[in-house]
Amino acid sequence: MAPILRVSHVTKTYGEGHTAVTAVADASMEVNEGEFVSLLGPSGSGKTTLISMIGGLLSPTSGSIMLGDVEVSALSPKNLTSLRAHRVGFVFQSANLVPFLTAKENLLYVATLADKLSRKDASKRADMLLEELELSDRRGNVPEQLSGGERQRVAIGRALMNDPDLILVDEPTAALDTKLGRQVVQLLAKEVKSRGKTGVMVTHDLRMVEYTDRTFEILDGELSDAHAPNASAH
Amino acid sequence: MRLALAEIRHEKGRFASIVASLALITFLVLTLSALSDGLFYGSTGAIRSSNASAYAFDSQASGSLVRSQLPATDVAKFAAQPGVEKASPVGVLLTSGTGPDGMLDLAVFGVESDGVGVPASVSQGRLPNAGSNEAAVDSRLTKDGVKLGSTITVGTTPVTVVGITPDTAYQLQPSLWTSVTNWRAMQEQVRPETRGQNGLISAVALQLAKGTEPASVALPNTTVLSSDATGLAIPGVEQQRSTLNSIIYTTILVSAIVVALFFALLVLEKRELFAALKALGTSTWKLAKSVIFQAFVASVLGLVLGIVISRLVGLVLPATVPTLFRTESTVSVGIFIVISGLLGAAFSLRRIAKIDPATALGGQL
Repeated sequence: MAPILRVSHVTKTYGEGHTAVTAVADASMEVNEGEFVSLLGPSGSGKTTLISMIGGLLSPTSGSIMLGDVEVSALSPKNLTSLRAHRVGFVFQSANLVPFLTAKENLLYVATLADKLSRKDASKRADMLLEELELSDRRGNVPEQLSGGERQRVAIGRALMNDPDLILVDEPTAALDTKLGRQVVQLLAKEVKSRGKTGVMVTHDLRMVEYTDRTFEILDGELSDAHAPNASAH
Repeated sequence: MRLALAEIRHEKGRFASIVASLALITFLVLTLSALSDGLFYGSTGAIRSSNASAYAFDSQASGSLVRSQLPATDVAKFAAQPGVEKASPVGVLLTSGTGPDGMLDLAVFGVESDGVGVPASVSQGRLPNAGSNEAAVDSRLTKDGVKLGSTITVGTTPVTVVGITPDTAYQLQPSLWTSVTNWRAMQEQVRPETRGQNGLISAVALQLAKGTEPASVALPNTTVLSSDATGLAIPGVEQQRSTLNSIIYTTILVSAIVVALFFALLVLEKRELFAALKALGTSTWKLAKSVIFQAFVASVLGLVLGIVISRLVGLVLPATVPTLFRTESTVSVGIFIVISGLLGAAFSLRRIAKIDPATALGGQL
């Protein structure tokens, strides 16, 4: 399968001169269509910086990032906003749902950003996703009426809503206990795989990498080669 | 916009507080503006409603009808000036008289009914006939039981009311329009020191030809002011206006600051959410529009509520408080309140623009 995400020699440096800090140094990675990979590293390792650049939230200092045939690293801020709305789905650490919208409305909101579906089709798709995520009876509830796990499931639905090419997941278990965290990652892996989507999950939790196809490790900004999770020495 | 409305629905208490603040500010501004209008209209009615386009005063009177004294012979001299179409004598006396229900404050005007310087319109009856013991009175006196046929006595001179004129108060006193002869008689009776001043009147009312500068027709030792300038020259009118207007503008500025602070806090609190929404592909402009829209909704609701409150309070204000609720003033206050609300909210836009979507990842916030 062809790589849909190609990161080539990407470096991100903050500051200038001798106070410059290199967050990501000459990172290269490829992710194939339909793969769900993890990016494993402790806090401060540069994993968030790398995934932010992949998602078009930060521009690399040098190097290039290709999403399909689009060079993400060359887009203007305006085009990046559009790229994120249309082609990237995000799952944040703490769900970050709109607190005054219901579960379903949170899904519909991102549909209006991409503006790909008619109102009726968007409503149908949101119902379908919520059903799959076992949230049908919670669709009319606002986030404060949902448990942490339910919120994170709504966030997964939101990330899938616009049928993106790439789903980026940032420490999805940070706000959850281990058991719930596992369930969420398991569900995430299932959703990504069953739809043939491509996903990159950032985590510091080694226990979560077993649900992904491959793992990249990052330490002090240095990205090491991929290896199969089962072959991991840990 | 759906996002903006959903937030208002969800945060009812919060938005109720900003709407209530704006309603109270609107009420305050409208009441002040009604007071300003009431004072202005109550002070200048006799001048604004007259058919004269200018008034001539003696130069020492600083444009005050009450202070001015001119020889009656000036009337003919003014009538002969080029640019003057018509000139008539005006006598003014601030005094009190006795009406059907007791004492009345009055501004007595001695005028010629077929001349200039008389009310341009009559709501009931007619203007007094020359050489009669008749008078027309300001409509405010109807509250004191005065009607057509009533007798009002000033000094020892009784006059019969034959006409009611709208909006003709002078220095917050209702006016009484009668002949120059009656005016002089009344003045001599209530001010004995003016006896023997038969040759004097207060001022000359003028009808100028179109395009004639008032100052250009002045005689030596006289000052000619347009009717508008005469209104503003009434003692206290301009001072009251500018004082009240500066309070009104300050209050509107306060409303802009209240809105600015409200939305600044709201945006500050939603920084994390806005970062996430931006990361999901929401443009800064879309977020900005929703904040501006909320400010618009809050301002309009506050405005409507404020208008209702001020009208209700206006109903129970005692008649001695000279308030006048004019539609024009309400509309301009409304426009100011809404614009200041939008400007206040606009202060948050820079803050929204500066929110970095990258902060949505990694939990740096």
